[in-house]
Amino acid sequence: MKNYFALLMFLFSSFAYAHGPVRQDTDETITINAPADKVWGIIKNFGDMSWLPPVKSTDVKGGNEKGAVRVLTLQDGGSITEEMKKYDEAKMSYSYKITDMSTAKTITHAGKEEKVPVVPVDNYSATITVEAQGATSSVRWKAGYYRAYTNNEPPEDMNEAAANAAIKGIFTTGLNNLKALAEK
Amino acid sequence: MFRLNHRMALLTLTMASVSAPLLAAPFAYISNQLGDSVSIIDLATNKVVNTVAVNGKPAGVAVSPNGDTVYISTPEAQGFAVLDARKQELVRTVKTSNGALGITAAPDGKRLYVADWFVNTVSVLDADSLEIIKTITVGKSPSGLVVSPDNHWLYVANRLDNSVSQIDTHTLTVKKTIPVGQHPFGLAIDSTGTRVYAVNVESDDVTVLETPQMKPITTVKVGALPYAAALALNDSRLFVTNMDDGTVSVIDTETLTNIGLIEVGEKPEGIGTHTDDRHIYVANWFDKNVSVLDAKTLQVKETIATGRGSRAFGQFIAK
Repeated sequence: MKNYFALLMFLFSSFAYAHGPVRQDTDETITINAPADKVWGIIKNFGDMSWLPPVKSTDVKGGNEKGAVRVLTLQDGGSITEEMKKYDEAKMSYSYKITDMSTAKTITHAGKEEKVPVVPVDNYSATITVEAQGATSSVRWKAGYYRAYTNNEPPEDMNEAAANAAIKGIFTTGLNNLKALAEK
Repeated sequence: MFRLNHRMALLTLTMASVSAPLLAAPFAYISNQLGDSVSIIDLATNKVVNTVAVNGKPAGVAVSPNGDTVYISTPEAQGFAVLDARKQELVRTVKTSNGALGITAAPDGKRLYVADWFVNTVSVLDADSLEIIKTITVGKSPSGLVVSPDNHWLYVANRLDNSVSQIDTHTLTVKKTIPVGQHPFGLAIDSTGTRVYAVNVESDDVTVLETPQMKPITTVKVGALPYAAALALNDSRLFVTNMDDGTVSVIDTETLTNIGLIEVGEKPEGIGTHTDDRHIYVANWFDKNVSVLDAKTLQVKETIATGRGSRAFGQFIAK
C-alpha cells in the first residue's frame, strides 16, 4: 500500500507540467560519412534503440506511428518510457516525448523528499532527423525540456545545469555511436 | 485641375509611405527566452528591425496602449524590463517578485499587472512611477492576464488551481473565481469584453466564458498542449497554439467548433494579432522564428527568423 502511494505520487509529479522555470533546449548535429538511407535504417525503428549505448533493451507497443510506446531499460537498470508523437518516413524524422521514468535516487531538499529521475528533466520532447548531403548525411537531434525540479530554487541534482549536462551527454554519446555504426 | 489633384494625391501617397514606418508602423516584440533578447518586427515589412538584449530570461510581453512603451517580464531577474518603443532601447528594469511571468497593461495605460508564478499573486503597478500599488493573492501559479476593454475587470488564469479569477480593477479585489479546464495558461478576451477564452494546457481544450458574468459556455477541444490564443476578423475566429503538435487550431467563435488546423513551427507558444485584424503572428520556440498566418485563407504567409527560445507570451503587438 505504501509503495502504491509512492508510485502514485511519483506519477503525479512526473506528469505535472511546469511553466515557472525556463524551458531548456539541446540541439546537436553530427556529419556522418554514410548515405542517409543507411543512417536512417539504423535509427528508424522506434522499438530499436540498440544504437544508443546506455540502453540495454527496448520493449515497444505499436509500430512506427503516432501513439507507439517504448520502454527503454538502461544498463544500470533504470527505465524510461517514451511515446511517439510524429513519424515522417519521407523526411526521415520522428518526434517523441518521455511519459515516465524510474527514480535514480531520492534526496532531501527544502525539508522534502525529492525523487531524482534517471534523466533529470521534466516534460521532455525531442526530434531526430536524418538529412542527405550527397553521399554523406547529417543527423540532428534536438530536445526541449524543463529541469526536474518544478518549484523555485532547485537542488543541484535537479537544476538546469544537471538537465542540460544529462541530455547533452546522451546526445553526444548516441550520435557518436551512430556515426561509428554507420561508417563501419 | 484633375491632373494636379492626381499628382498631389500621388505625392501625398509617397510621403505617407515614406514616413509611415517612423510614425506609427505597428511592431511585434518577440521575447527570446534562451537568447536573452527581444526581436522587434516591423509589421509593415515583416522584417526584424532591431534586437534588444534583455537579461533575466524574458518571457511575458505587454505593450502600452499608445505603443510607446513595452514591458517584458524577466522571471530570472524577478521582475520586468521596460523598453522605449520609439528608441528601441532598454530604459529600466523593475523588481517585483520571484517568478514574474504574465504581464499586461491596462487599456488606459495607467496601470500594469504582473502575475507571479511562485508566490501566487498579481502585482498592480502605477505605469508612470512603476511602483507597486497593491499585491493581490490569487490562485496557484497565475499565468495569463487580460483586462476588459472597459478597464473594469482583470482576468487571471490560475494554472495549478485549474481556475480563472476575475479581479475588480476599481477595488483591486478578487470578485469571483471559477473552475475551467486543466492548467489554464493563456487567456484571450474579445473586443466587447463579453467573452474570455482560457487555454487549458493539460486538458487540451479551451474553456469559453461569458463575461463579466463568469459563466462557462462550453469547452472546445484543440491540439496537444495548447498554450495561448488570439482573435481575428472581428472576433469571429480564435487561433490557438498547440505546443506538442506544432499547429494552430482555428475555432469559429459563433459555432464554437474547429474549422481549421494550420501547421506552424515546432513548439508554437505566444500568438498575437496584427493591427489589421487579419494577420496572426506565432512565436515558434524551437524553431527560433515567427510564423505569419492569414486568418482569412488559413495559410502560412511567411516565416521570420527571431532568436533562441522565442516565447512572446502576452499581447506583444500594440493595439
